[in-house]
Amino acid sequence: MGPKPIGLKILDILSIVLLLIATWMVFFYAPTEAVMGNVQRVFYFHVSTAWIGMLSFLVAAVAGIAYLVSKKTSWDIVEVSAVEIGIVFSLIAVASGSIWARPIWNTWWTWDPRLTTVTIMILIYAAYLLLRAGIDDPGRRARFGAVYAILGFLSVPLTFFSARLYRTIHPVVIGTNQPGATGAFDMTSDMRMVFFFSLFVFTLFFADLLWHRIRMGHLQERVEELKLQASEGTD
Amino acid sequence: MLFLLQEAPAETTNYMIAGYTVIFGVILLYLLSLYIRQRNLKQDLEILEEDKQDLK
Repeated sequence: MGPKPIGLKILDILSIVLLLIATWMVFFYAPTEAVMGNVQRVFYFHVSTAWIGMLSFLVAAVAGIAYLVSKKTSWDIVEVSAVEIGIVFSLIAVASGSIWARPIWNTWWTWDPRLTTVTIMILIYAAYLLLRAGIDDPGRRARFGAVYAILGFLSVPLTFFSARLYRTIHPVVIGTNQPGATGAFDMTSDMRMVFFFSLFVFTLFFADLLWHRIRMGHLQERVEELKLQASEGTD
Repeated sequence: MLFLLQEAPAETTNYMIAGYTVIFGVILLYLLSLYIRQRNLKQDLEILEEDKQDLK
């Protein structure tokens, strides 16, 4: 792995600065929601992290297709990197949503369609990492990973549309809320600005993290190659 | 659901703090894990390349 590219250095600085600005806007610029109070501020990063989770799984599926077409291992590295980041951000979205739910829904958790489908989605991708780790042959592992990432992606639109198609307590930002949805609110223009800015900042942060994780993946590949050569040399 | 009956916003600041602690905490943990894994891989690479040179 060579020295850190200048583009990545710029992206690092930009991500940190913009994340700080987004955080400041969430706490000091966005108005306090009239009914829910300060806990509604969780909304900005809760939705942004959920968005990054789903975007990551989309990237993984696209990388899976690209791998099956090209057979280039670099696509396999993109795929596993995206899945790892997707799991982390989906877990953040679930945990922050649970904390927001406690005062609003009067419970930390309920098995409603959105929460159930998001749990299934995370478990599907956690299984991806576990199953991959059990395959030694790199070619077989990459083929398996590619097919799994493509099929696993079916859980993402199911999760996204679950709050729109089924009766659910979970409110939606885009589209019409179900009659039983609790915690919905009308966004003011200031809230909307903070929301879209947070989405933009997290998308940039995702690109930064993915780049770092891909570089680590290439390093890991090189180490595995050398280990294999070393073991062949001693045999 | 009593918050629906009140006029002033509900006092939910503690939940907001907890929410953002989790968000930033998990992100920092992930960044730390990336840093540690990368450092360990670099160390492994150095050792393996040294061994390869020695074998030559």
